[in-house]
Amino acid sequence: MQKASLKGRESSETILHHLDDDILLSYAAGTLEEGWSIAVATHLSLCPACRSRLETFESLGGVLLEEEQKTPEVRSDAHWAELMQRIEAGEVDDVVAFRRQPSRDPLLPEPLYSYVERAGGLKWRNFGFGAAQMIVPTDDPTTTVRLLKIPAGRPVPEHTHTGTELTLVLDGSFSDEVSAFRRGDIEIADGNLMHTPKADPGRDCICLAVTDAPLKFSSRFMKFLQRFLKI
Amino acid sequence: MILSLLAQAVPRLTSPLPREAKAVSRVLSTSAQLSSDVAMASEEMAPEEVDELILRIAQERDLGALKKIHHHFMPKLMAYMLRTLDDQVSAKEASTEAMTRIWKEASVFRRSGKDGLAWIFTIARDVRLEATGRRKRPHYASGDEVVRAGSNFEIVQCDRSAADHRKAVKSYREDEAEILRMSYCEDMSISNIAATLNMSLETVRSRVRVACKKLL
Repeated sequence: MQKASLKGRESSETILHHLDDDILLSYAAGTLEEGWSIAVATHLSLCPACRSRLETFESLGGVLLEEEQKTPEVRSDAHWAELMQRIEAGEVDDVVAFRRQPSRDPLLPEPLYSYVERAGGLKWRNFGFGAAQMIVPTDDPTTTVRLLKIPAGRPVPEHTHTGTELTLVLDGSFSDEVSAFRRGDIEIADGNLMHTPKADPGRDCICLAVTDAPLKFSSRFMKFLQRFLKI
Repeated sequence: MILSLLAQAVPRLTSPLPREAKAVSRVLSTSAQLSSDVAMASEEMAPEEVDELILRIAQERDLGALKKIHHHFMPKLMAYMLRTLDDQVSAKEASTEAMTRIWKEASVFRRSGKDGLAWIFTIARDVRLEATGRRKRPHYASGDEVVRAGSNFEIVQCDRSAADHRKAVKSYREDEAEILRMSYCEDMSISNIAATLNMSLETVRSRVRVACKKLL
């Protein structure tokens, strides 16, 4: 009885699938490409545990900056005089407190919300079997970022990955042979994983999916479709 | 006979070669010339002092505090920028931009929840990415948090301080530290690092994870 009522309140469930250390560290270091970073930063908006880990990884960046050997060419006094001049001449704004407006869409946290808004808002394009997608435009040529909608109870056609696929659940939930994923959960799949994720019944599953290479479908029909749908 | 020859040879091998001796004296004379400029900055600043200086900049617009931060971090910012920017001029431009942001944005420091060193690092990182133009970095910023109804898990406190992290970094093996430096300082992705060190992606990843375990 109580279990059933908890199940209805998805929003209070804790995130179970987090970002791997190497991805979060790359994001903190600034080396992660834009496509992956959208999923990482959007997960961070949803996940207090990963926010805390990010702080640790940024703290590590601080320690490494502190360990940099001083460049012998730097003449601190001369630089300081220049900087003072710029501040006193009013060339440097005194204080800026930038804080963006919170996302106005309960489905899409920042920074994903801003990306979708910039693309003209959320527009689904059907690609058969009731599933739909929206490509999220980025400047990053190494990845494809898309929103996916899988109807409740329906499988995503069986596929493997030639590269890596990072999925962030935004609404509903899906399960594969290994585990279940709910809002905020991250799944990372690579070439070793042949899986058939299936949206759980009751609610359509909406995900953000980032890939660095096209998906490889088992079925010939899906391969045929893929050429036209660019998935 | 052979043993005594060896005994004579060993001390010769271990004594400093003339070439090395010259290098040491060159370093010494260079640092003597620079001493007037760098004398104000000790090699490391206590993490609490960094925090306090940034807070003084935020609350009192204290130029003395900014000067201390500047003299300590400017040469390190230059070193960091020079690793990815091509020349002195653009590295200096980027370092100066980072310093002006420290001055401008100090008021959001406390709200960021970061320690002072980490906060300065994130500013330097963002300035460098803008300067190199290599990639966009969509950021998570405080204020973006989605508060989940009925959740008791909103605040996850990290009980390690900046000083603990510094200690952890010093305890790293050289191969672990090398990978972290390549990532944070040289702007190299994990796959880039693997290719450079001629290692598998998995090996680099697992080393990163081992290094992270010591921090978390």
